Amino acid sequence: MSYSPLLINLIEALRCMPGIGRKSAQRIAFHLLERDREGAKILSTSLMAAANDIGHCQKCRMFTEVELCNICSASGRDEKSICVVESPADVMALEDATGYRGMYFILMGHLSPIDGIGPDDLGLEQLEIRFKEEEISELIIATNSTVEGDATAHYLAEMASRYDIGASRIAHGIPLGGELEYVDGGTLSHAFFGRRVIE
Amino acid sequence: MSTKKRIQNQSAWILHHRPFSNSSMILEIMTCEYGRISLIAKGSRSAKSKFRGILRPFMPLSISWFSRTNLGTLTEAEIQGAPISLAGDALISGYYINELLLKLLYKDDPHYEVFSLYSETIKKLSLTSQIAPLLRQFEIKLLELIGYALNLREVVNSQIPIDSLSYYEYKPEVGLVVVQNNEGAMTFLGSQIRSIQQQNFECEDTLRCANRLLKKIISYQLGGKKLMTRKVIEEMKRNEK
Repeated sequence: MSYSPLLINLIEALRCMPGIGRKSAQRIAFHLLERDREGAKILSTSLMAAANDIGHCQKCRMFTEVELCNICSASGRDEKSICVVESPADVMALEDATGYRGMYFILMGHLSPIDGIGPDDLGLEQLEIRFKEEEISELIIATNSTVEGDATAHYLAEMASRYDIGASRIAHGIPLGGELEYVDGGTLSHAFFGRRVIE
Repeated sequence: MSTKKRIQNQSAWILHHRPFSNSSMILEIMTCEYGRISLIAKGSRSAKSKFRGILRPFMPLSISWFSRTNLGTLTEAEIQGAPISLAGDALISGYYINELLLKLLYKDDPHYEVFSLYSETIKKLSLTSQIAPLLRQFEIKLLELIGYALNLREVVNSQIPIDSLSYYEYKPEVGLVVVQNNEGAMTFLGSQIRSIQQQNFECEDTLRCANRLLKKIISYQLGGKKLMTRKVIEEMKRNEK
């Protein structure tokens, strides 16, 4: 037995989401039709509006439908400090956890030479313009702790040094509450060589 | 029907990885006895994976896997020896070397010598500041090991040795031929050909010539496939200016 064309379309369309296969798509479709048609209508209008109107913040590349995102347009933030992250989710994680009140720049990825992803794909020209035009004194590099994240961090640090901007990278090492015995070798060696003086 | 193969504790390097499905990765790996293989590392991107922090390029690994088709499944991975840390230009060069292996080697074709050449080069890369000579040596040796050795000793189809003061053109499919002047992208002075042949890269000029020569030969061997790392390196250099 096959479903009606509209239903088939819906199920196929739902499968574009990450982690949603044929069965999950079918379950979601039936749930929306059986129990939550109102929710389905809201979902469809918000998806449509988001897909049409959301672009990137002119300054930090965050997703937003206005020219400057909430963080870039907020008053009272430290405009001399820029924190560079790989994805929009990283901004939220840092905002919630750290109390950092400077500005951000979102790369939407990382350098990956074998995949051909270079500085141009990460909007680094835009960041360089900010280095030139704004008065930046500190660059905090919060890329992921992967080899690609390291490569990106190194490139950013060199870029910052050309403009005499002090760059630092967030520390990586033993997690809070972690016991050395159970920490993997790579992390442990990083933590060991990145040890710091107790003040 | 193909049979299931189980392989234990092979020395290996990860050349490239890409995310696959929700929490897995597909790895392109260079192994000691099985050559270049592709494996799937299931669940390796999830927070609790035992592979976390281990499956990185430039990390000396010992791995186990099983395979039924040409995409096997990784079962174990351990760090073997001290991790190698590459940064900056050395790291980008490391990616370049990885891409060469990815594009020049056939899968499932054992290359014991290429594996040791790769291991040695990566280790040296982390220790030296003279990256360019190391890359040229790697390229020359790699071409030799996969059966495309350069013939820089004599003029093609003759026993005539290379004269320091004459000009030669290198034709990828043939070898060296004598030319009258130094016009053309693949024309070199005899003395430079000799230095390249002896891998004597102390002189900047020789190094530049070797780069020019090998770039052409490698792109010939790649048969139209583009090296992405080259594109990224060029982008980086342009932005630095």
